[in-house]
Amino acid sequence: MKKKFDFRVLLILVFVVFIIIGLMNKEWFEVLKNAVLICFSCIGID
Amino acid sequence: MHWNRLKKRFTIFTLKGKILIQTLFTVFYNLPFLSMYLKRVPMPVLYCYSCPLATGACPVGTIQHLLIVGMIPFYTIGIISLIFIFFGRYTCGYMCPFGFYQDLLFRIKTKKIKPKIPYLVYSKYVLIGLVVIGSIISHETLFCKICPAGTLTAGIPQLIIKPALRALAGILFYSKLIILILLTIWSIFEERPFCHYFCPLGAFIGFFNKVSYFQIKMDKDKCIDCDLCRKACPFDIKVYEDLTNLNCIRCGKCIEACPTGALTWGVTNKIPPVVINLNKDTK
Repeated sequence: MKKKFDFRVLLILVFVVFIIIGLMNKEWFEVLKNAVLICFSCIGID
Repeated sequence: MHWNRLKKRFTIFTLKGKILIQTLFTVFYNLPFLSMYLKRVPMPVLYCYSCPLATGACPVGTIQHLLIVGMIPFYTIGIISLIFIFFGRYTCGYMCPFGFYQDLLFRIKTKKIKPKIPYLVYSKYVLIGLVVIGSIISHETLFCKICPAGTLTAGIPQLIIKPALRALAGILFYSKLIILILLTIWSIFEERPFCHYFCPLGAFIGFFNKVSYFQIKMDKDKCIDCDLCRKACPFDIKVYEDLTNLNCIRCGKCIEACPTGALTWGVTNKIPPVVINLNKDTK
């Protein structure tokens, strides 16, 4: 009997782990902090 | 049988209602009252977080910023990759507001051209290098300095609503504006030039086309080798040879053009499996 293992499930698990590591590092706070500030590069101001 | 009917209805809905889907997603990315919750979440599309109405965070800008401050963007890559593993570049075809902008420009009735410079498609991979390596070395958000989506959704609106910023707009703003104008003109004649040649996010998502659950599927028995799918494809991809092409933005034009219904949207569990022989004794 051959059972196929969909390696995408493994990829999903890896990305979930990525999210958990990021949350533990409080990366979301850095994302928020960056996003609420005006990005001068995006607007085109040196 | 029921699944096939559902799949057919979904295909018809996405093809006929593409503009509606793109409009709804564009509206979603412009809901400022949700920004207090969603600005900490990177969106799976290129949309500038400095737009006065932005709902969420731009993944490219976020990755650059995190690399500059010395963090590895686990959270950002994790969130967007989770979406991409399900949809692949369907996010480019249907969910991206900057793609929608280019689609609207392409609807202007004039003579159209197909992609003429094949090697230019590799420039988006160079731009991935600019995003990752460039930001680490220079400590600057280099891609943001040339991003036309940023000029359109943040630069121009911010300068309109904040007069104090106008005095600060210099050579960088005007060079970004020229890039946007050139791309706008290009988009009238060629379909999705930015997505095809320059989008670093699209280049990243392209790899997920190979493994995503949501795919374009082909019934080889129904294919009559008419080549209409390639002619309809904005990027001239031979869909019948490569259903998971890195450049395919899953716009669905090949499905729409197929006269026999050989091409459909589908969810695949076949690509690409790792076969583990659990019981070697039985066949």
